[in-house]
Amino acid sequence: MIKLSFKPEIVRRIPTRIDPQQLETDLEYLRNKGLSAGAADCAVITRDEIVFNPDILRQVEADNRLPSIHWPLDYPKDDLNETIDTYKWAVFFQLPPDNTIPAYGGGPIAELEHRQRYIRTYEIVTIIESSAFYMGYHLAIGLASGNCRSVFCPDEKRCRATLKGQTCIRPNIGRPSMEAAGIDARAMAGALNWEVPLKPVPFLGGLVMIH
Amino acid sequence: MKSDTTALKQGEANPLKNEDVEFLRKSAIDHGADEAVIIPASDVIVDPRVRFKCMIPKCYMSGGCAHCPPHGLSVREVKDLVAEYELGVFFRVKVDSKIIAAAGIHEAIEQGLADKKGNLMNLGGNYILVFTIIKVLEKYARQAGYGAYGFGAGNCKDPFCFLQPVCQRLVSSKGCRNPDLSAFSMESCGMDAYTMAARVGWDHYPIGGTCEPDTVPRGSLMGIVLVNRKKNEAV
Repeated sequence: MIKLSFKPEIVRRIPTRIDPQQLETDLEYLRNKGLSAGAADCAVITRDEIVFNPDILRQVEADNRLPSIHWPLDYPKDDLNETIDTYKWAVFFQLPPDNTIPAYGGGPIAELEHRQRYIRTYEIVTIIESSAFYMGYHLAIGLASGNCRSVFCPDEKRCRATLKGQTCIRPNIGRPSMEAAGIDARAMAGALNWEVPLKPVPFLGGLVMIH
Repeated sequence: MKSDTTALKQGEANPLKNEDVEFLRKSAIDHGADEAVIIPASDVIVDPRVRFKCMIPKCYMSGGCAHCPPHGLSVREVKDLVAEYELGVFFRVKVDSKIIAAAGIHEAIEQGLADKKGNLMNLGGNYILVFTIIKVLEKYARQAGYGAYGFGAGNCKDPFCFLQPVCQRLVSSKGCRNPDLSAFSMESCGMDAYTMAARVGWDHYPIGGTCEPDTVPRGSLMGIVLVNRKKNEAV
């Protein structure tokens, strides 16, 4: 069973309000967490630097090889994009580009080594998100890359969370990707002057909204 | 449980009286809460990010309980609901970190397996206490002619339907197995109980699946009962 392990280093009492100076220090700490966990590039960005692209959402909706609760996103009562708008600060990262990875989209990931790289993005997202949570940013949420069903449940006949009354078989691990939220991570990385993998090589990284 | 509602005057559409409100607050303490305060309903923080914390990453119960996201009330519905109330009796039940952050407790919760030390059952008892307090306060308030609507902590399937394979309300027209006990939790409705606790001066610490007893002094399970002078209308 896949288990993303994490132990908090800093645990703080929930504050009445976030102190701006503390926030600045903490964002840098979280950025370094991403780098030390294996990100090639990691940056603190503002909400305004997050790029939405409706074409990416359409591609996700059209790619129905392995539909899951997170591919395309199926939360009819909640709007993730509106929710992202309520954050001001985020930590954005990418793994070292690997030009051998084909465009898997939301479909099966043929190579185990490639799947492990996807898993690594989820691990780094977990490390940054959980660190932030314990530091007092309890509303931090993170998005990874790809379709969580392709990454964690490739042998399951269906995503159990899509069935009425059923739950995810990978709790605390399964999460949406940036592309499922319509976020153009490649454009964001380009704006940061990162070495961006050329299409069709997938962008592997994550975005963690902190505060 | 013997209810003492003599302090509340019977009737309908009573204006909220300070002594009645204080009676409700004290009742929360009398029935097992460690702390309880009265707050204006306008101090209830409803934030869409809270519901997403149940879904990103997936909580083990997300989708498995009619009161948990992605089911339940939308943030818009909750904001409209809260706006109909005047105040809230906000309370917390403290839970020893040796129980709520016990080694293996998270796995026991997710897998629905009772641990040998009894921590899972002990924790479940604390969740039941929160739901019980909100139901008692709702009853007292309604008996006095007030409207009341309570929100507990966590999912209600584990405390009340632990041995059932699925939440009946989700899969059958029979509805909920325990309609007199079950309720939405604050977090499932997008209420930011953490920040609300901080703002009333309570020391609250984040507790997740990787916490250990030494990491936090204690855990807190919080609930709130909204009260108004109107008769309550079920959502």
